[in-house]
Amino acid sequence: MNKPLAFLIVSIIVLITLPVFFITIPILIIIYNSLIRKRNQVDYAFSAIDVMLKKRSDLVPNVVASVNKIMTHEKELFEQITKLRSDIASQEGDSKERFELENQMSQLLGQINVTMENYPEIKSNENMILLQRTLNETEEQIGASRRMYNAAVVNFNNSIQTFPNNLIATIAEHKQKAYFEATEQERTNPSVKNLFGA
Amino acid sequence: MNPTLEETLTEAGKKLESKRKKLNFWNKPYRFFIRPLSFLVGVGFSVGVVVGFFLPPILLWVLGLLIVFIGLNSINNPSELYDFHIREKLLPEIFKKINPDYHYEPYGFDADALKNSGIFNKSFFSNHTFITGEDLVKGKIDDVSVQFNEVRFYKKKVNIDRTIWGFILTIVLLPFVIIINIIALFTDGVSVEIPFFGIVRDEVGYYKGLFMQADFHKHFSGEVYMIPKKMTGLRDKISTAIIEPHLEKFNVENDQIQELYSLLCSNKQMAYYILSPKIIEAIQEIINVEKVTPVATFKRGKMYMTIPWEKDYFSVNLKEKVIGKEYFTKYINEIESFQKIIQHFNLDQRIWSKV
Repeated sequence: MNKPLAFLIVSIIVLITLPVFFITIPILIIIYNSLIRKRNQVDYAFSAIDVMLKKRSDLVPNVVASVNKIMTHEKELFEQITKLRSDIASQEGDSKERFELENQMSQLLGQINVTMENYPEIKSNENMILLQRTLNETEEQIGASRRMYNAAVVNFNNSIQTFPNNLIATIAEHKQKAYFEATEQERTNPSVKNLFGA
Repeated sequence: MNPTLEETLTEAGKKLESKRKKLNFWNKPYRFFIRPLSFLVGVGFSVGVVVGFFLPPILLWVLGLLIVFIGLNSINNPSELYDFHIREKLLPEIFKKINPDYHYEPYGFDADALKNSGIFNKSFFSNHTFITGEDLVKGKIDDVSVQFNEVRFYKKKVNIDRTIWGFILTIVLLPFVIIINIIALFTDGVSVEIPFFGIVRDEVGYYKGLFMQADFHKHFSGEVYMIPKKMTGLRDKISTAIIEPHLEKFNVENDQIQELYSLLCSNKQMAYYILSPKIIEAIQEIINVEKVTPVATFKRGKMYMTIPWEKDYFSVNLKEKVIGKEYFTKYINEIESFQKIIQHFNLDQRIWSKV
């Protein structure tokens, strides 16, 4: 539905129901306000996820710097991570492309953690253990933020697609928000214990 | 079973069987002679007190009955003695042998843990008049500090039968009271008040279950409540919203959990962090396997859970023969069931980076 058509339908409904104590006008205001509240919830949830993703992005150079001297056979993996990090930095906001890149980052970091199991000197290093735990916690926080974000997005997307909310949503130019899908790895194994073997 | 425990249990089994035989021998005379006699003497004493007002010489007999009554009541119940022996002497020893970190107390509950859980301030638990506890176990399982015990919540409930009988008795006595009062009016005698038995309320146990407290494997501040919807009536829902406006509702992806529970939290992001898919799956498994709906709260870095069931942990039966160490298998299985619950949640997998 385009904006002029939505505007036309709303105008007709308002005109028809006008004699009934202007009933449609407060209803439209309520719908508009509820959509704004839901959109704000999505924005708030995204800001939480963004903070966590930035935190992880700041952690990545530390992880790479700490392990690349020991894990000499994984140079390709580190190069991929470094490139991906710069690609993510060039992406803006809550775009689908950014979410896909962030998921790729989760998978690559997961791979590092699995590969670390083959390096006993890493497993016995206190600083590395702390770094792993920080990364582990950040991954958990990202997972939590993603679920909160997706719950807000479901709520918002459902609202703007159902009648009569869709009319107001079209006029106010509310667009569907992209989901931040969980990675395949997270779907099959939500626990991080296998990554770290803590 | 480790060799030290095996040795202890074999020895304990022999001693326990000998004790059981002795107590079982006295159990029948106690049940069929001492207890009924004690009851009869009690009745005789009560009747004697009333009759003694009119026939004072009988009071000496009443005094004699009182002494006999006290004497009979001072004889211990063999079943209770056996129960006491197992719970006070044997079980603490078995717990220590299984895990030196365990500490077992046969009776009581940790009032602070219950209060901190926030469980009994919510919904139908808030109606309780008092709580009792049994089998309090404290200790560490895989480096996780835990605490388990059986709790029972009591509340006052109207006893309909006794209330009706009281009402009928009031009606039956009413004509007599009226006649006595009419006579008293003309003869300046003592008037009698109309008896009214009113509504009779009993203390009844309305919830029994396992209460558990464990250190959670994630660092968090704030609170999350998982209250079964069947435990929250409309009034509770309204009172929760009014009394605790800082709590907000949230949804999880799991349909079964969503359908069964009212989920409330002080912060949504933290709630999703705590209720990870793994924890939700673990709770769902308890629901489906045990056919129960646990109540769970997460507060100040701890997980609290109460699982409603009628299981009587570490039950004792005087009639059951003690055949060697195998007799204790059921107790060991029950101790291990606590361990399994904690291991089921993977709470030993520390997530946070700060120590």
